[in-house]
Amino acid sequence: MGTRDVLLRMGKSPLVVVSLCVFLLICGLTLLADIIAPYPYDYQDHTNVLQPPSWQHPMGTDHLGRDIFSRILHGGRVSLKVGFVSLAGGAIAGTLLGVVAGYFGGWLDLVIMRCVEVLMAIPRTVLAIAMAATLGPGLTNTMLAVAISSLPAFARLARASTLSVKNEGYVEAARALGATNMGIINRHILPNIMAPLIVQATLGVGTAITLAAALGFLGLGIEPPTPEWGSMLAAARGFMRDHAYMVLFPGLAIMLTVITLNLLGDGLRDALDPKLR
Amino acid sequence: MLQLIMRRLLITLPMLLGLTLLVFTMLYFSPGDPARIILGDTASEEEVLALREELGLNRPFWQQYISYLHGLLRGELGISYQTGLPVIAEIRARLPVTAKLALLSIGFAMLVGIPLGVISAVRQNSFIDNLARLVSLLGLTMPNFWLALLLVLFFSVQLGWLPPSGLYGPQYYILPVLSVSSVSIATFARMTRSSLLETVRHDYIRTARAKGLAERVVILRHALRNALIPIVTVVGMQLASVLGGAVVNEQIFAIPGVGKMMIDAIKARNYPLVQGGVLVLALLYVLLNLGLDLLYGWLDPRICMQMDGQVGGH
Repeated sequence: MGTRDVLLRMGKSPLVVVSLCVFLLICGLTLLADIIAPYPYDYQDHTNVLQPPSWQHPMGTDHLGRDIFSRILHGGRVSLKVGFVSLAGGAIAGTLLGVVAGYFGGWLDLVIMRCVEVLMAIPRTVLAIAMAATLGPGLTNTMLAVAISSLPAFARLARASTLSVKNEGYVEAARALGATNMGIINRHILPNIMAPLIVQATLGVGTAITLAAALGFLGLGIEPPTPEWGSMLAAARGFMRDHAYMVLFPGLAIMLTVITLNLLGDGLRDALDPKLR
Repeated sequence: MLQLIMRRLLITLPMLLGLTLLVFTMLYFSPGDPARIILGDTASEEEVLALREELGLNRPFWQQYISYLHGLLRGELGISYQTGLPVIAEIRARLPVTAKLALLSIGFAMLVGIPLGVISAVRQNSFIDNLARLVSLLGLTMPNFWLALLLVLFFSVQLGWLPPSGLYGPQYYILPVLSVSSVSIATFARMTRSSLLETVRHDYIRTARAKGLAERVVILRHALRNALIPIVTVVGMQLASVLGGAVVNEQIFAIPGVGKMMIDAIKARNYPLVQGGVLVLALLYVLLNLGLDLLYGWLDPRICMQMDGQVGGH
């Protein structure tokens, strides 16, 4: 099935189209935060602290007088970056390991999959917390912690998919024609196992964003003053009794982003394999 | 069945060994010198060096790992940098709280999620089905730490019905359980719905209906029973979700469990406590999953039969 067919199938679902539009809007708003945001994310107006939503500050101001709307736009850029980069890292590393394990089998399979199982023995959030503790806070370390915690799912999926295609006729034919192992993996295995991995990746970005936000919320992720949705929620906790909007908007931003990504992932899965519907 | 138990144990033991290596490696590469953390910034270089020697931190990685394994076999997980108490004692005091929160959450999720999925499947495409699917979508996408804050805002701050934090009675578990179980409720509801919809298409369901059995009996006694098998496998996966959720929510609700201990320990750079916490939570997860696997084999004897002819499957 070609990319065009998949897009056409996805286009038939109004929910998927709306999700795509909302997601593109979120991406656009966060990417253009420098232009759209009414204030710099770190601009403190001490005469306007803890102000409820108004025309001047559509989502109110925080305890330091910073505009929450501007911080959410800038924070979205960080959260989306963490989600996509860490997921891409985990997906690439996991897929490579899974394909190597599935294709070559033997002791390589044994060693790789036992290591993957060890990673899977730790609940994902606990693993990300442990990794963040080992690596320390910061953007790169947060991405690394989330990437490592998302790696096992891709490795297992890639291995299972590789096992199901490696004995297909076209792989045997390529081998008989003298293709190298790398050539077979690149030209025949990877293109044929991509569909489930892409679906997993689309659904996984939302989880990665939530996980990164959880690390930020616990104070183990991206450090202030860089705005990030999770750390914004953590900072708002102390003021939520009288200023509920402070916890409302960053949480809504996370949820809206994750909902659109999940619906897109579901739509993509249905388009790639209608039997799964 | 015995073969299944043996096989599962054979897979689990090397995994546990790998787990100890991973956890030890994480501690080994943690930032900061443990001797300096224990003694504080005012200690002299000589004092730090002497303590490093005493703790065996100058030995090679493998020697330290083997000592760590020896300790583990004796039930030792090291000493807390802050209190000087054995880590195992600190964890023993907190583990029941975390285990109780996780088990209550998974139990509550099953209690709500499975009936929600059944109603959704029985009334497919109705208003109730769409509502249940919306609730599932929200449960899956709403970060549980945000849900926890909203629950506190509504039930504690606005209504004043439930306590916002601490652990001084059963009512203190209500909000954390609601928050931790949200993802699992959604997952159980989704899984039950799709599994039940798949099952009702089978011939034996048509036969049961043709026999004139009431729809309630067909669904509950025939369809749901068979649909429950894939749901049991989801319980294992959801254990990871509730344990992870418990770690985060203990911090929000100030519940003195292993999760709160770990987060506090990370901030205080008390790494043996972090390491001990990770290891114990992983052990709990592995053992609960092992128990579930055995239960699954007992519930569905075909699993045991398949295991007889299967080697190294995943």
